[in-house]
Amino acid sequence: MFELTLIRSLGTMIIIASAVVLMLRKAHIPNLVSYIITGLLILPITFFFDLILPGEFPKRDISQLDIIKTISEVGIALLLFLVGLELSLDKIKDVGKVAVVAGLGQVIFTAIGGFLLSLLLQFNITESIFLAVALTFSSTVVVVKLLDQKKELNSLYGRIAVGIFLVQDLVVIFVLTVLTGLNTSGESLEVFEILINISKAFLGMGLLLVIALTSSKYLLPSIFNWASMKSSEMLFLWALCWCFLFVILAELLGLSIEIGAFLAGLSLAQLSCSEDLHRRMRPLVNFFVAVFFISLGAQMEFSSAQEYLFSASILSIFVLIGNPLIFILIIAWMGYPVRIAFLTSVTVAQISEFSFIFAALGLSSGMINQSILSIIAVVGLITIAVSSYMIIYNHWLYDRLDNLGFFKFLPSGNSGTMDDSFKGLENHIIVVGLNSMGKTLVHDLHAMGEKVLAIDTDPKKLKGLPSKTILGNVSYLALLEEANYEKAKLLISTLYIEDVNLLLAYRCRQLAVPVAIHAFDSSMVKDLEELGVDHLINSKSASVKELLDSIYKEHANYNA
Amino acid sequence: MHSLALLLFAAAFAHTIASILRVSSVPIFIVSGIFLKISGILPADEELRHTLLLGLTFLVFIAGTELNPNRIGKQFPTAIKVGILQFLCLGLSSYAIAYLSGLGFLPSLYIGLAIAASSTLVIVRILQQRRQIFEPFGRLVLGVLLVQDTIAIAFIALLSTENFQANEILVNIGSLLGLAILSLYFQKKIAPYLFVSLKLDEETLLLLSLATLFSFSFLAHITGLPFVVGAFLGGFALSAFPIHGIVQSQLLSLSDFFVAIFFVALGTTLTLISSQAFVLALIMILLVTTLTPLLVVLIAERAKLSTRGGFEAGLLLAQTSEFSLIIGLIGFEAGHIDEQLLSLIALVTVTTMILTPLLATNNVTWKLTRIRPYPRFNAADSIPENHILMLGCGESGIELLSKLDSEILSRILVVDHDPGVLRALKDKGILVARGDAADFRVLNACKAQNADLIISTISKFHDNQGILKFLKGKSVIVRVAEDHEARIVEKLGGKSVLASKLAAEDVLSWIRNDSSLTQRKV
Repeated sequence: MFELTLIRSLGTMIIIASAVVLMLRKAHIPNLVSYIITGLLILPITFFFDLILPGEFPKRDISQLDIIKTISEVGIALLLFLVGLELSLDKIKDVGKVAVVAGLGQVIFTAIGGFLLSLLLQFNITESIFLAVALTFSSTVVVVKLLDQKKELNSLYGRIAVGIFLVQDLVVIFVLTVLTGLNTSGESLEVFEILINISKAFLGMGLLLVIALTSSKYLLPSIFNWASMKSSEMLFLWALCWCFLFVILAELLGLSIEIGAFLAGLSLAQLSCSEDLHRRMRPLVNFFVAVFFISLGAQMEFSSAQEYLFSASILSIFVLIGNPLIFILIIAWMGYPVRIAFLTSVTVAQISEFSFIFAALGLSSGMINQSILSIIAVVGLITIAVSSYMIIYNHWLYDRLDNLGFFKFLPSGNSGTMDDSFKGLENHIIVVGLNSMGKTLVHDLHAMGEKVLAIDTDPKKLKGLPSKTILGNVSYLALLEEANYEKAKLLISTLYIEDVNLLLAYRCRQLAVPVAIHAFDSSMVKDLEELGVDHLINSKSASVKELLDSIYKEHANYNA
Repeated sequence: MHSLALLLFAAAFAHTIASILRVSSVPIFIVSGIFLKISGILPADEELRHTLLLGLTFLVFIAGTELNPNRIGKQFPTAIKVGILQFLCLGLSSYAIAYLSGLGFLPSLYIGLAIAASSTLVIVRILQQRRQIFEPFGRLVLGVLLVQDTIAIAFIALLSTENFQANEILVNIGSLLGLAILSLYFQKKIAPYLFVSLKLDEETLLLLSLATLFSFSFLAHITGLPFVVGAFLGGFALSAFPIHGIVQSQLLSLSDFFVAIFFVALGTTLTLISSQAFVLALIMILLVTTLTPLLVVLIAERAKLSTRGGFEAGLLLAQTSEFSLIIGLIGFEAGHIDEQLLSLIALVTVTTMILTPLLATNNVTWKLTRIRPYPRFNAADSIPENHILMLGCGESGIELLSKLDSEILSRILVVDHDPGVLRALKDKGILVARGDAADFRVLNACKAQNADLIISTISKFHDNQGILKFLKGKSVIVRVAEDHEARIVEKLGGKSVLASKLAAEDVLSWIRNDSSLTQRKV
């Protein structure tokens, strides 16, 4: 029979995660924190179940399975691809300078600060170096996941944060290259080799960037538009291929998965189908990334954590408060409003999954001992959990601190507003399905002076409409939310798809949004009426009057 | 990650080819997997096997979420009859052929099961493309598919017993029933609470759907059933409205991803088959493509569907299923069948799936319909001179008739294939004829050439085009849904009534007059 290790491991992860998420829901704990908690719980729980049902549960550490590692990697790649899709090159260009300056500045200051602090806590020099490096980097995956959830990736501070993470990623590659050089060549450090590797990485970055830019301009628009005309499934598969292609290229050039996937996404960002792709990609990303966080939790090693709880707490506080502080100073000094500086700085208040890898490498090469690994695990758990809250409640936190006068000492002093507060449509009429009926409605409603928003999955059908349009599938709640449907005056579906029509009716009635649905088949009428649809569109019976007229006219001729 | 990337590249390439050739992507996925294997670039590692397993689980799970009898409506009893009879006839005959050709009991049983089911993935796609999913025969076909999937899963559960002892089989039936009841209970009581009342975000909904999948898989495994049975029942637990709709969009991306790479990965496990197996495969292909339409038409006619509807459904059902591949794979993993037979099943599936869009066309349907003389046409008693011919009489047709006065009604002849509707009209004294209104022989018998006016409310536009060409020069009014259809009607000399435009006007006047709408405060 099938080898069920994967199904068992994955199943155990997902089931426990669901239970944890449901139990912690009331405490408003972010899902990713619940996932890490799940990872921590997996070993004891599977141990317990193994006592009841011997042999049914994986005894091996789940996170060490190759396939789970692969799923985690795919998760990271897809997440960064998603980020790239959300941002376009234009949007990232204008934050380039601040990202480089703040990114590098923070790396330097945090590294020095962390090093000195570690020495004060009586670690030796090698240990202090490892701790300092581990504290320096923030987790791209954590932050991007939260910003995507908050739909603020596109905001100014979101873009700056993403830029900073890219800069940090490059530094990580640098550090890893040095470390591998240290590892392989034993005592004698091959400076020349390391230099070659580093320049290879930077050249590779440049090369990938050039490929991404030129293809996004000359190659991708025509082929992806063609694919989106054919079917959304094809578009989806092509986009995934593009992502994997860049990931493999990045690997060959000695770069990280994150950079490759991000650039792949970036090169597709300006296409008209990118929003639709983003929505289709998200469930896949959510699944893979959940596995990533759970196995991250499962990897955390706390064997000697108790003895070092004090040091770990001090270092955590440094990451949670010191890191953002360094940032606020740099960004505000560069002339950005304090609010933006604060919101950006909060995103770096945690350490990265890379820190664990880094420490594990140090342990395997014998440069540090188990205790450092445990400290880093505790700091990781604390800072990821706390900073998740800080990011989720960042606006609230800013307002409180501002009221308390925390930002008075800063140079610019102004508390500038968000540049991009999203102004949603209100009182608009959403028309779903641009068949002949939909088109007629859009034109006529527009002529009546209504604010109309047209939605269809086929880009051809959206062309040449006088109204605003969204390309995508309304089965995704995210699309309806984007269309601001809760504030709509009316939603009309002219679709010939029963399931989608029922779902739309259901969703609209949940929020008491008036809704008119095409009941193209009599079998739907009862269901739609039960759902409380405001108006049933019966295209067939609408034609009865005109048919009657024709018959009467003919009959008059006949009598005459 | 490299195996995964390769599978994905092959899948994207195959999907493109399938889209250009206008065939289902499933068979092309498999073929591309075979090429991937031949090329030798795919590393034979664990990742491939895991991919196969995950893809299989998701495929069965998604099939389970589609299992909602409400969507079949009135056609459900017919669907059960057609589904079971087709499954039995095809299954038994292919079992007999396999057994006679020298295969043992167990391998023949697997072949029989694999040949018996039709493909949901292929058919639903065609029905959606042709907008026929809600036509009576479309609903019939969907219903048949549900019935067949369910039978296939039941058989998979039974086949998992080790020695086929009566007590083992009884235990398995018991476990299956128990799990099915649990799934139904989950669907009715637990799922509405978790998926609706708690008002969770999309990410958590996805997580819970997957947790349902894995929980049922575990339960199946613990009770000695194959885990795919659990995956299917886990899907069934989420199949009710509105939960199905709520989770569908979340699962869609996952299933697109896993299903594509599953079929490619499956292709890489296949092998070249012997000439004897090849002949057997050819016989099976012939069996599936000829016996299925014939069977379905006979059953559908008895169930009062039109002959043409029966042929349409039969031609659509004439292929083996992705479930056939799953059955084959499970048999292979259990050591019940060898690589040769798995490849044979795949060959039959790939070929019949590619053939389906080529065979299930209007032309073939008409040709077959003509072979059967005067398909259930009951001529009207006496047709008046200068009559008004009404082709097709659905709900709006009945509404139309109810608004006409008796003088006009005495001139009207209605042609439809629904005996229930015709009986009701006849009771009201309206002249009726039963038959396929798009069949020229029926039109001739109704003296369409002598009619003063012909009104068609048939929804299949292709039929209307045929009618217009056949009745050139007559006064024909056709109700259509789309602008371009209206233009074609006018070009062919008919008069069009554009329902979509009239419906849009109806909506607009409702918007203007509904005071609650204009006063709504956001």
